[in-house]
Amino acid sequence: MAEEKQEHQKQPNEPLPRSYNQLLGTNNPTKTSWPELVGVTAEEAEKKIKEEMSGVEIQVVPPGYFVTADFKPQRVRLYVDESNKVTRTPGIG
Amino acid sequence: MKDNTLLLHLFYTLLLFLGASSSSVENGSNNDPNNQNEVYIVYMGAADSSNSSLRNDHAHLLNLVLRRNEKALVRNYKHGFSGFAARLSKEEATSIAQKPGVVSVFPDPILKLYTTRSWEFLKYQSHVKIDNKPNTVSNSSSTSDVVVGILDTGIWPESASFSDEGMGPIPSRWKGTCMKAQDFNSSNCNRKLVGARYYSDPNEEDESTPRDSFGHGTHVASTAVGAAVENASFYGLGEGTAEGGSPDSRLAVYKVCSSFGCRGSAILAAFDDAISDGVDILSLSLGASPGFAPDLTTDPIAIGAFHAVERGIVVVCAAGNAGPSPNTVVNDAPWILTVAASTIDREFQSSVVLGSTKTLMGKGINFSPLSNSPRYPLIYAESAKADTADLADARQCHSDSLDANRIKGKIVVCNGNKDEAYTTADKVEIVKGAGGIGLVHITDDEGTIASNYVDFPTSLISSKDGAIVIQYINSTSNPVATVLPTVTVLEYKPAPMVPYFSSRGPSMLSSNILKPDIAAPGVNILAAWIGNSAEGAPKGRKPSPYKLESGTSMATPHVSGLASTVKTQNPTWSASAIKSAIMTTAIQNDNLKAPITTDSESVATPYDYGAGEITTSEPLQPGLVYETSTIDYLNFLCYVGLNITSVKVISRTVPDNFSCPKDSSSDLISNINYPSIAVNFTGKGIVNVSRTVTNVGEEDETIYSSIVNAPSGIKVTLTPDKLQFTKSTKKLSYQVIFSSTLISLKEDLFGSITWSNSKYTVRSPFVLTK
Repeated sequence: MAEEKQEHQKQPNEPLPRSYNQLLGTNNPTKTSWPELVGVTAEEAEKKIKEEMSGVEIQVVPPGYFVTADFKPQRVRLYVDESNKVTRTPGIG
Repeated sequence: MKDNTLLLHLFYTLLLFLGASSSSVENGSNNDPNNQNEVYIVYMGAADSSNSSLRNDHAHLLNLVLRRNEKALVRNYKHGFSGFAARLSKEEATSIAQKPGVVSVFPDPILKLYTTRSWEFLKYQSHVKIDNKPNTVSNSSSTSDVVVGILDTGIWPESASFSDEGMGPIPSRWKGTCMKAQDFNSSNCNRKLVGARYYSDPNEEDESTPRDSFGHGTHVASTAVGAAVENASFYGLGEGTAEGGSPDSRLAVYKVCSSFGCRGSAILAAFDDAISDGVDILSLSLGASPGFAPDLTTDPIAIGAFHAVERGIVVVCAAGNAGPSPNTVVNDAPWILTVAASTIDREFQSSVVLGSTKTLMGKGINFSPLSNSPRYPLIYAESAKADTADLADARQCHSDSLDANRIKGKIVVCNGNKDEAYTTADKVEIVKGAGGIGLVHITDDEGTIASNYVDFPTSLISSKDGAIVIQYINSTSNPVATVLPTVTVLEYKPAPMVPYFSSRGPSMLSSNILKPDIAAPGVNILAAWIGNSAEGAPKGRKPSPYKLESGTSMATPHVSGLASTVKTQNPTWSASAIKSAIMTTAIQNDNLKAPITTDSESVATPYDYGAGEITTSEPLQPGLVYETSTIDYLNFLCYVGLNITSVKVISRTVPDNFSCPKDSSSDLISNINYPSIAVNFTGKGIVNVSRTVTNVGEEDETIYSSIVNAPSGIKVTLTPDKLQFTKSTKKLSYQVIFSSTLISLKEDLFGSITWSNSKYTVRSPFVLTK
């Protein structure tokens, strides 16, 4: 849970690393996440994620909603608040 | 003339007046602040004991709310539990929260208009064959009167998996109904699909039908109770008989999910209806995101499940897909049977044949139209770098990095990288776009889920095999290869493994309840799908009625199907007895006869798989069961800090003289009569827990002896260490004493306690937490 809130140290002029699995030191498949998109609107988040992962499927999840527990590597869920701003670090699944 | 003018004036004035009134009436509902209020769920605990009327305090509150705004009520909960969902102002909500009989008030928002609304049907890959159904001990009838309720995206009733052939009449006690919609009516229900309800979401009117437009609900329903369907496959992959865990059982569907997800108030309403309809098992392949899961008293799944379990209904829920980080398990209330995912021994292999005739076994699903002989030019992406591109980008086949002139007509070899945001599917598009005819992706990272690349020849190979390919390319001036279409490979070893995505314990609710509870197949599972989706279909092929899906969503109905079989065999058992039977008969070794591992090759622990991987025959006759009572669950609520007033409101079966145990503390949670054990050990030196087992074997007179598997440094003593059951003694208790010279633990330690007689083995894992 703490891992979800972890942020990478920003190096000047380098894009933020996309995978945090290296931090965990595990051998797991790339699980991409976008911590910098917390607080932006769902539209903007969708646009940014599509720039990096063109085939992504986006699902917008409003507050008070639960989600199905199927795992889809090509999907990213955007959990938003009442004003459509992303509240949690988006990740694949 | 004057009179006419006066009359005309009057007439026009009247018109104006009427016009003004009607427009205000028209706009009234929009401008009326009451109907712009948010919806709140007011949870009031137990239902009225007579089951047909509202509790006085419930009725009183409803009156209050309706007097202020007669259109306020959205839903009323009165069967399994008490409460309602209504449009309230913030002040009203706060005021109601203080009233007696109210446990909690929480929002169920109506959305403001969203401009983004994208739920695209996901690409489905891999083939999955449902495992064989659990063996029924008595093979008498082909019908079971057990009803499994599924809360999900609805159902595709035309699927062969929901045929009612051979099924007996609908049980007379069943009170469910088949709701009508424009694409659904009573002819869609039958003796298999005995109930279908939907819950309208004001945010999405098209989904006001029990019909599934996503596939997920149909898939999990067929995994739980689908009839046997021969020759099911995903375009030939995973071919076999698709069958649910309990194909003889009945199905009731509660559609609570749509494009946005599954709304809280709908979930609560579905629980309320399911309890009243008379389901025996409830299966929820749904959850919250870990770390953002609501508190117990504001969690619709936990609340609904509590009242269902109180009435003997087994509630099975997914553990979540936020692994492999620890503390990611959701749906972890002790009354819920929480299910993790595991792989099965089936792989989908797509191979690369090199011109040197060497064949490399790769992963992935594709329906390659290429010839089997390696005659297609092969190129390493690095050699096809576009002038302006980075070499590293080209090597990895990133956007705009490849020179189409050099790619065209060739099979392209790309490197994968842990840090990139590109999936294999993304690279397929890039290579395709540059004119490539196939992709060999060198990556160790794609994990156990087999993705579907449809018609594009794609193979994922390991870095070891990647080196062989590159060496071959460098060894000849005309490297050639082909990619073979995917084949199903069985007896893959090792299996089962715990896949990375499966959520892990310990529980955030309390580390003194071991979660998840159990593991079941949840990777590349073949089950029924909706009939109108062409997603993932090879060119010119019709939609496949069976598809491969992965997730703890898929694992959950395996367990609900199993629970249904156990219940059919033992109809009088409590929900906790059924849960115990499934847990104490689970196994911890794989098909290499070694301890089950995760897919990152570490040995799995109960935080990964709970009591272990389900078995399908043993739960029917477990020998002994651990029964967890409603009092146990109420004590749990006391131990996690709920005050007695709330606890009393929640349960109708609480005796009047129930009070929270003296010195309620979280340590006492370890003493709840759970089939597994979790104790906090640090700073203690010695810890003592008790458990009670009930003999459910055919022999009244039997003696069970114990074996303890203790972690090093810990002494585990059982008192007594033998349990002697007789005709009059069906329940026996024992104490477990954990002691150690260690003052503190460096890490959580695992072990197990097993009771056995000549016939049965009853195993409970334990964890000592630091």
